[in-house]
Amino acid sequence: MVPRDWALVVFTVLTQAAVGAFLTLLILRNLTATAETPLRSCARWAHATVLAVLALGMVAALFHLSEPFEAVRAVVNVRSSWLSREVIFGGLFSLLLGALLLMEWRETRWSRVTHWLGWTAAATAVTFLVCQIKIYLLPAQPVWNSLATPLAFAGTALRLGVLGVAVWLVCCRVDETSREQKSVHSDGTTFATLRGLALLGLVGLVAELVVVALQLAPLADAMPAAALASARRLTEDYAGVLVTRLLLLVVAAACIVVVIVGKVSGQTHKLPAMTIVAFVVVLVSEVCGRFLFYASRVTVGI
Amino acid sequence: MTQVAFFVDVNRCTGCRTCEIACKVENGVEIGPRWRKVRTVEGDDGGPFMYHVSMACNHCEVPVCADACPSGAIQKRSDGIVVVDQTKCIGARLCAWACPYDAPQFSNETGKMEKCNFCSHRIDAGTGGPACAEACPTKALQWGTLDEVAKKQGVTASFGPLPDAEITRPAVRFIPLKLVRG
Repeated sequence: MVPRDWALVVFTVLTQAAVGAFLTLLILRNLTATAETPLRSCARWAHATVLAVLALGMVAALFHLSEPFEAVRAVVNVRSSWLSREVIFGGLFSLLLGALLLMEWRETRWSRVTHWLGWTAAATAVTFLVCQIKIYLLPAQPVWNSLATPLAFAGTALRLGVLGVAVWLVCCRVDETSREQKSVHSDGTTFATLRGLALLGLVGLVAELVVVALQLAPLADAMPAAALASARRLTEDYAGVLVTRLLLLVVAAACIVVVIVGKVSGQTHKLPAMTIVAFVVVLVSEVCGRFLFYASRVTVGI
Repeated sequence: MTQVAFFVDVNRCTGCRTCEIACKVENGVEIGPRWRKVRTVEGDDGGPFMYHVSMACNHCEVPVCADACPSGAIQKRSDGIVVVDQTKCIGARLCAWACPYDAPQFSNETGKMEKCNFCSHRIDAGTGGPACAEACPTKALQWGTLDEVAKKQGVTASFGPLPDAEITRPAVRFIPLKLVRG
């Protein structure tokens, strides 16, 4: 992996986290349409955070280019280049999210306009993610040109998205708790939401094991040679990173199980901490996984 | 379109790498990138064998590098030559990822992608063909139109460890190794 690829590690992890978090917030909002939950009072801050993460990721991508000040040229070949399409839809998603944020600061409840703006932004976000995936489905790169890539990218969006929203939820509720003298654990709606998000996060972690299995599958079947070379890189050159990633997934899963079960020995202040720890562990694990994604690339042929 | 093409007879190649050197001299390629590479393949087919394959950009009929390039810097000419416009390249390196033949190379000197251009300056000036083919001492590497090259006896677009020709339909034909066992 060349040093410039680290910019792509940061870009893909952060933007996928932003897509996942936005979609999670939108779905939660619709599921709790009639309930007065912290979701509504803190939503604008959540969207502001998503926009900031998205913007940070897109700025990081500039450092992948040897001519970052000419990055605007990256949208020229929209006719055939998935990268051009990715840039366009990423930009559209940013604009729509910004517009949504502006309207949320002006309104206390979502109007019909805001509602449709939100779903349009969601469609743009999904298209942005699809374009990201398509960039890497290259016949010349067998380790990328498989089901592992869409599963890995969508999995990152799911894991960081739901856990990121869970962290925001507990931080928001804790902030209210400190003012209202209530506990997170006793707030049934928040706890149910948190548990649902944690369960989804656990599903995402299990899905990542499928990705790793797909990446290592060529070891059992020697053809094509490039895929085998990629699998060997994972198990020989980067075995330490792979093991670290898997261990982090196990630690994160343990934290999430604690949140789902909700047994914290009556010390409810540990619930937010456990959620935050799970998110941070998954974030580090995602960075490891994305590093392995770029590092395992081997072109077909001689 | 009259597509130009390379022809490589693996049985004639001695691995001398004169083609690599001729290319670097003709095009002023810096130390590092190699627009043409001679690769050595070893194997065992009831007995050990080894051969050399001279590879550069194959100016494919389906230039996936051009499709992948976000800035439109890579174009296919009417004679089939695929060229990189350095003024448009932003160094995204997607062409290098998309190419099955490892043709596009990143130049640390210019910060742009570069690759074999079939010595298009010589073709355009009418002063000859690619420097690599004209320098080859054994005639292992030749050039012509794709129609001419494809008609040669025993040629194939892909063999052995080379990528599936259906990915990009390269404008190159090979005569693969003919093993002679005593």
